[in-house]
Amino acid sequence: MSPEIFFRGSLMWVYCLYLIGILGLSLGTIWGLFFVPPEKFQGDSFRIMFIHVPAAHLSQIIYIGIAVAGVVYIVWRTKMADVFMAAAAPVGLITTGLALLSGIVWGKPTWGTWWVWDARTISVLILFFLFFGQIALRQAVSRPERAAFAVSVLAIVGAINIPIIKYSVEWFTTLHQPASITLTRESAISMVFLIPLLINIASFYIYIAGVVLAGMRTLVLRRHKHTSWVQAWTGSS
Amino acid sequence: MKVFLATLRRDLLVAIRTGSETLNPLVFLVLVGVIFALVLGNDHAARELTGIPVVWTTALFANMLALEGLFRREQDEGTLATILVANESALPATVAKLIAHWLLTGLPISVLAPLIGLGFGLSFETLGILSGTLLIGTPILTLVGAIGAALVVGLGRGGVLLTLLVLPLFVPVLLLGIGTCQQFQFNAEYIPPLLGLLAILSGAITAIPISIAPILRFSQDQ
Repeated sequence: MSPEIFFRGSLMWVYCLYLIGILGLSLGTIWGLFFVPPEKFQGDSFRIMFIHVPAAHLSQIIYIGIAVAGVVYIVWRTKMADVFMAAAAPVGLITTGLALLSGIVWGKPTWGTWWVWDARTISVLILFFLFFGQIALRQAVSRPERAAFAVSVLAIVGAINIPIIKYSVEWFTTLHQPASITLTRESAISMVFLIPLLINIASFYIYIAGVVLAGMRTLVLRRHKHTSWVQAWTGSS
Repeated sequence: MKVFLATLRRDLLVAIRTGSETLNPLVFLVLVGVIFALVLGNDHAARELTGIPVVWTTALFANMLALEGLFRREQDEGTLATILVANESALPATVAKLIAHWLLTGLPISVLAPLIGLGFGLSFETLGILSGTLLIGTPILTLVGAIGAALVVGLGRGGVLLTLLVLPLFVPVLLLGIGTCQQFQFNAEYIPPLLGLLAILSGAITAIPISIAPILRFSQDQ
């Protein structure tokens, strides 16, 4: 796709994604925090779930997205794949940080400790550092093509961590519970909790898509600052 | 085959003649191990408990120190570009470089590490397992680290960046290696983590050597 068409076509998308995402997140969060009854064993602390689960889920999805974009870049040298990787890495770093932080806060009342060194927490912490590596490597390499290639290779190599995160709760003995929501089995969560949680997960997807898209727009603008269409666009508005 | 042997011979010769670059990581290993044993004082139980993780982690860092020089000399003097020019010679040459690197770092580290383990009061059987897991683990470190080294070759401030990039990838190897030794030390089931380590090694041997040359080539012509 040409950068110019992308840039002109994506503005409406960013507005829509932001609007739906923020509305959905407000709905799901307010519902989850104020209108859902307390859980039988955890009391009120389980409400952290409405933040923790979407953040943890999205961090993995973002990394998978970056790894796929890495393959696309290496095979077809698609410039937009590189733009996506550059825009998504900082977002992934933040969602992973959010997942870790909310997990720490949730761990204290339920597990009795802030942090446990087990398979799930370690693998998510590694994910955090992988995102950091993406950003650091991109900044260290000055030539854009070489940076894009290096970051792609790193993303693909690091993708090995994703199945480790996913199955860490099933392969190893850990305090972290196995997944409660799956596509194939009936949910292990009661409907009362499930609906606001699903709203929050879906809205988080939409909101993050908006954030990444907005980031990509900025990068496209910066990378094509010497073209006539960018100069015309920035001059006219 | 000719290219393979010539590169292997050349790398080993260069290492022997320059000396210090090869010896530094090993001295680092001994020094850090000794300091750890020192600061733990006379607490025997604590030393026995921490011995394996400390030795394994120090071995990993020593390996890491050597990684940065994997392609640096060739990059600086320009031979790397020559090696990569011909398609047929690129693969045997990079494989030879990887093997030479392991012979000069991984192997001596695996031999030296048990000596440091002695200072922590570990039993002889445990030291054997420690050495064995290092023999399986250090080739993985060399292979995975080579990807990182190939990515940052030619960048001025490669050292810290390389550590940042590959350390997260080393964590599974570290945990499985330490896991195997500790399970053995405490008479628990030590075969499963050992198999995990071997699985990673076979995967790395299959996938990584063929991908190093293309990565290096890209880092070259950009």
